[in-house]
Amino acid sequence: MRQYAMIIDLNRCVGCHACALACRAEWDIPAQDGYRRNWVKNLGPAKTSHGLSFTAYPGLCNHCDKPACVPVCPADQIKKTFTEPKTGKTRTMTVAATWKNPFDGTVQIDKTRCLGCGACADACPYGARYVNTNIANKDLDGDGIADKCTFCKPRVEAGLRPACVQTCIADARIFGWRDEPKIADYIKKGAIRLSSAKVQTGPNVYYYGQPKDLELLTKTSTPQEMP
Amino acid sequence: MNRRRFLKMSAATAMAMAAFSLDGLPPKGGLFRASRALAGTNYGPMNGSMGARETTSVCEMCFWRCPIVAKVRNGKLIKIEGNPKSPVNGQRVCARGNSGIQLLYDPDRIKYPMKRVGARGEGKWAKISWDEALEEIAHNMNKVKKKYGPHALAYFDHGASAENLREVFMAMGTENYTSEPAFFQCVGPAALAYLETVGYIATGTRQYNDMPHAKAMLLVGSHIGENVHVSHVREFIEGLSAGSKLVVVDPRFSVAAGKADIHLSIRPGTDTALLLAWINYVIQNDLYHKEFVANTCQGFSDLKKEVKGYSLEWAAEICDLKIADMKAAIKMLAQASPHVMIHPGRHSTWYGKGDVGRHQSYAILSALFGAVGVPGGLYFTTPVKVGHIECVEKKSKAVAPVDVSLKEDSNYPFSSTFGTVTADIIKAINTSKPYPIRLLGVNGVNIMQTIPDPYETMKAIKKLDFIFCEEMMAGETALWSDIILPDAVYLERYDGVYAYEGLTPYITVRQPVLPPMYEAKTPYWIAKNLARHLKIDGFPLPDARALVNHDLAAVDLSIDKLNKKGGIISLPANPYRTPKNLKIATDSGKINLSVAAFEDEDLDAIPKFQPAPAPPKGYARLIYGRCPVHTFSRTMNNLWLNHEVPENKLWLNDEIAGQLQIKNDETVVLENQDGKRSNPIKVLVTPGIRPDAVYMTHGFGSKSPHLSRAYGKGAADGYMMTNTVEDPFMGATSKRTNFVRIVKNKSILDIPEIIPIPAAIPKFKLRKLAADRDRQKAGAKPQYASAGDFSSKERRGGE
Amino acid sequence: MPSQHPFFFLSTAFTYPEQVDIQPLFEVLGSLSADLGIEFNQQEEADNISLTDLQAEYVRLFINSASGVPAPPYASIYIGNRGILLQQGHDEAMSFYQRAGLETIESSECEDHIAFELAFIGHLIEDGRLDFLREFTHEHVIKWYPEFFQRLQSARPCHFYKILGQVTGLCLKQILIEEKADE
Repeated sequence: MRQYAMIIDLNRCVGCHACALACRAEWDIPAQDGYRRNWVKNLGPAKTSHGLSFTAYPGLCNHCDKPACVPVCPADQIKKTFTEPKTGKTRTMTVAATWKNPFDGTVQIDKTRCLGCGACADACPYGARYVNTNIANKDLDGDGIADKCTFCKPRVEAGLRPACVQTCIADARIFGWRDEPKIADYIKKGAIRLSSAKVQTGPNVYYYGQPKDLELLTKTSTPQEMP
Repeated sequence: MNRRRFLKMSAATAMAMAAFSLDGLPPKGGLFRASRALAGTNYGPMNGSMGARETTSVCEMCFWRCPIVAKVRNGKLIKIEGNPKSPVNGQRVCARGNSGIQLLYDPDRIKYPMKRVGARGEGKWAKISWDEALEEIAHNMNKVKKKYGPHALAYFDHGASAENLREVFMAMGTENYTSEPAFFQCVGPAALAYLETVGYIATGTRQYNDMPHAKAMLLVGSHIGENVHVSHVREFIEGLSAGSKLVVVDPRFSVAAGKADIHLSIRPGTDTALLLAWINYVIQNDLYHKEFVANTCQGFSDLKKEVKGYSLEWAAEICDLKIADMKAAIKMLAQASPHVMIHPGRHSTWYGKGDVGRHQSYAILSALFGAVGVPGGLYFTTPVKVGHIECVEKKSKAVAPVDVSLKEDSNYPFSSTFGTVTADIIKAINTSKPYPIRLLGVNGVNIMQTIPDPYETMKAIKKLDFIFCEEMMAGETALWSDIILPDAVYLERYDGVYAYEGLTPYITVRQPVLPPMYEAKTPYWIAKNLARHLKIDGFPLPDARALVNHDLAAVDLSIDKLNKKGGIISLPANPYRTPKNLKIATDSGKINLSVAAFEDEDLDAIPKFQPAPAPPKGYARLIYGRCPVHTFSRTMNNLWLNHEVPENKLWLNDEIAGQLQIKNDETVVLENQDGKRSNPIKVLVTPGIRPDAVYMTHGFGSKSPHLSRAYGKGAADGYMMTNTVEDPFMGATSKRTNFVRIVKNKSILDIPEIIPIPAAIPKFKLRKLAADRDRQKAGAKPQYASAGDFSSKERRGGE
Repeated sequence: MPSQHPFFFLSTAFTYPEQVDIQPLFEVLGSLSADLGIEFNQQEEADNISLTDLQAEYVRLFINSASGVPAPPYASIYIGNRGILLQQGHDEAMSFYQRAGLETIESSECEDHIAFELAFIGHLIEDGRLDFLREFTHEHVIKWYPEFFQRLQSARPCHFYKILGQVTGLCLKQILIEEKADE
């Protein structure tokens, strides 16, 4: 299976929050507490073993290899057929209202079948999901609708870049297939994921930067426990 | 269901309603009619911004003005992106650029012309018509002019919407316009230093610094990255990615410092000592570009003599730096010569005395390294020709004769080139010297937060006969205005041709994405119609679109032609010079290492180190900077941006915090050297700030309750600035000459002096400390600089 | 013939007061509130407030105010918690108007202004389009009116707007009650 992934190069990032705002604009996300698909947390200045660091944690859904959010969805299971856009190949899987796409590795939500129960949001160690309670599937007696980063799937399928990548003023975000050179080279030269001994979901957002910045990032932002 | 069952009206109500409709008011309000449009517009939430109608334009969330495309669906702006054809930002826009939609649709926008119906500053307004509003302004302008003379009219302006109205003030004969806080409170000293040294303003509104091709860069107190001007940040990051070395001099560990090879955490106020010691070191160790200096510079031997005394050993003590670090840094820069970017900085009104000299020192270093007109150095602009129409003919804009001119006869020999000194206008209002100023027009400026000592400004406003403003959002100025005019948001107007003369020159235009909402009008319409009320001849073109087309026609372009090319055209650049074709535009024809024009005015031709007074015992210096999500104090009420970063924090050195037992995120109040207190502010405990300084980002802590989201969130640095020192060259006012201590749970905490201050640096002398202490001991309340200053009593002029 | 339905009056009362004589406004509101059992001494209130004061109060509550406009009278602000103009609430209103074959006159105001929505209700009642009335009230107006009303009351409005808010709320409630009774 091919997997979409993102590199965030902290050597280029200046922590300006353009990504977070472009995402809010593109997907029309209300400015309420906790309502966001994409966020920036400015870190430091703080001491590290490599000297002072002043960096940022630009976060989004990690589209994990083993997403913790998918198996907890209590919505009815249905059969869903996925198609690979390029080859037309299809694959049918049994899914609830959220799943990992078998052809691009992105984790997606069926907004029309979500009950808004929040189980997925609670299960994510990265806090990447939220439940929008301004809207709901009334026919299902829903309480809201879960939302998160889709890696801008509709844009990507239309040949565009994700909104956060397009707007990044410093070109610090690189999006593509995990095995493409522009991504794989970063992984080879030491880009890290925010994983820990107990959190091994296989995130697909990678961070690259000076050792001091990666140290501050992991110290402050890597989840140590599964929720 | 029977419709009569709805609302059982009594006979009395039916009668009253009948009388009501007889009163000549259509009870339906006449609000609806049968639809003439075809049904089928698909209203409702959409998935993403793809497929929306696109209009190219120019951003104005800050004055950097990135080319943009605005995406509209069903008559509504849904997203803003960078213009893909733009050579500076491409499809990128910053956080603020992305949030322009929130400015356009902000419910706190000024929607109608309004007049004050309560006391000045009370914020009680009634809606009036444009005609009434303009007539009222015209009447007052004429009245004040007649009674006190033309110079009694003054205009504070900033940004693209200010230019048309400026011509109206000029036509009234006043000399008091272009009094931009943006100049006298920001880039002024830097601009003058470069103009006199290298013959052009290498840093001003635009910055001509070739960072992408630099092999080493020096930033002194810069906020690149935190101060987001998209192409400037891009150039910085490009340079670093291409392998440029980076030296950052800053008492604070900035974003740039985080990317630096060497960070020098310098004692605030001593930068010029370091620079002069470096200049001396470069000369003494033959690290300068001899050929360039010999051919292109004048004054080298004077410079050499003048800086001889400034050794690294001396600077080490003054600046609180290690000799080895200083040496390593200057060697790193010298090795890259001539492709070295001594960044000219931007905001330069730091200490008053010495600000011009500090920027002269950067320019001298650039020259010594031969880093002028070469890749990686200061580069030359590529003039881009476009037309320019005078809305009022030049001869009708002559300044009226005056015995003593505020502008020409200022105490500052170099101010009049740039306008009337902002602080002088405030002084003149308060003292009526050299003449009274009684009417103020304000356009796009928060005069409370941008001019130091807001208390003086407030006093001045109360003295005015009349004050009006043209604004999009009501800021502190609007609260005090007699008439408020609603300005169209940048997304609703044409307002000029934008030509970029930097590394990738282009021509583009701002054009309306949507028509103005409510009764907002374009700046051109407002100026044209005010001129009509004043019976000023001018504004011959029907509207701003015609004006833009007029200016484009001079280069055989039009709005339509430009739009066919994606809204922007790129032009070839000519930034570099060979030694042969290098021409310097100074009077001497050379780069002035020593500036004769300064000497002629009894000012230093070559910079000397003048120490800025150090913090008095118990205080730390207040320094401030930028937040990448906000533009000055203008965007704090923007729903998205406010949600993203709602308040600022006080950076406090971790060791000091430990001694004072202040924890991270704890809330404190600041008290400055004159007893003025700030709004409450949360503390960021960090090793990233020196113990002798505290830092906060500028623009927060709005005291305009009108800005509902921004009101009282965080503290305002501006309200702590009651001590200003004027730069002797041009009268720019210092902003880093204020000192604060911390108030926690109502008790004052002195900031311990961890780093000894050398004898060569005098300490700031407290002015009223004793009196204040006595007052506090006696149990009297200290002077709060918080919302109290805007309490209803004072709004009625009771101060 | 001009319509007599109270919703048209409520609509007018929620527009900027410009008529020189404000007495009739108070009279109708007084009479309506009496019908609905709300106490409102219209004569005294009308005597105690000048047109300018009423205008300044309207500006403060609904247009621009020294403490941020406390009760922007637009559906868009409240529905979906958007906080700004011309969002989902406005889309909804426009969609209802369009389905009813009506359009708003040219105006500098946003079409989801309370005055438009109340006038629209008046039209639906006049034209006997009661299913549509039910849908518009239920699916749209009631989604935002309570929060708007609450923000209006927290802003401590002068009596006229306080009572206007209450009367409007009761009139809307009446629609919902009668609809229920009908089922």
